Amino acid sequence: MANKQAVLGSGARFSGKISNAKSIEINGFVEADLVTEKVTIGSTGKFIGAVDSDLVVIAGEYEGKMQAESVWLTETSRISGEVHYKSLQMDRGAALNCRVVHNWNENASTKVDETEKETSEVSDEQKDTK
Amino acid sequence: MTEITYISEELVMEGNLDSAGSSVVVAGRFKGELRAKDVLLEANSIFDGNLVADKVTLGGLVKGEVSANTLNVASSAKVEGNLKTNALSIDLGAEVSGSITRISK
Repeated sequence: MANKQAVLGSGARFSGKISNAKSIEINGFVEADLVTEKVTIGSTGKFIGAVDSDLVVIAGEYEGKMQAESVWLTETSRISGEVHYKSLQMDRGAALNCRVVHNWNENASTKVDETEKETSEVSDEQKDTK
Repeated sequence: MTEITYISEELVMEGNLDSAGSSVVVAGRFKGELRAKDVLLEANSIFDGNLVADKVTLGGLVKGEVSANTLNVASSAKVEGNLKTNALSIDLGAEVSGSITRISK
């Protein structure tokens, strides 16, 4: 496995601090604050705490304040708290009880065009549905 | 679904990890309480704290207390602390300092 990664098994419970992480996969229970590049919460996983990540994929349960470039909430996901995102995908069945904020923060303009493209696509789709 | 818990190189985890029914492999750093069925601390890992498991292999830098039914200290290990075990093997080259006792039944 590449460096700076962690996988938490489905029976594992962790609470504490995780640092210097690039990618985290959670199939158990984790209570922590995370700054990383990729977070995956598996269908058996539950995460409580703040997340700051480029990509977040959730199939399990999440509680906390999340700040992410791209968020994918699958059909089994359950979210509470706050989601700040630039690009969001939500599958039918995803359960959200949270505040959802599309943030155009100051970093957005300095980041690559990719996110702009994505967000413009989203707005095009929104126009179509109206 | 993955049962195993893996902490790869350079990653730092501090706190309490309870993985009673399954295995934990640490190649990075762990500080705190670790409880599991099997634990493998790989050659470049750093562990500081309290470890309780059924079967443990120590391969990296270990500080603190280790309690395991079966304990293997690999040749790459540097251990400073208390080892509690009922079945112990220490490979040639391992650096161990501290006390070794049996787990009272």
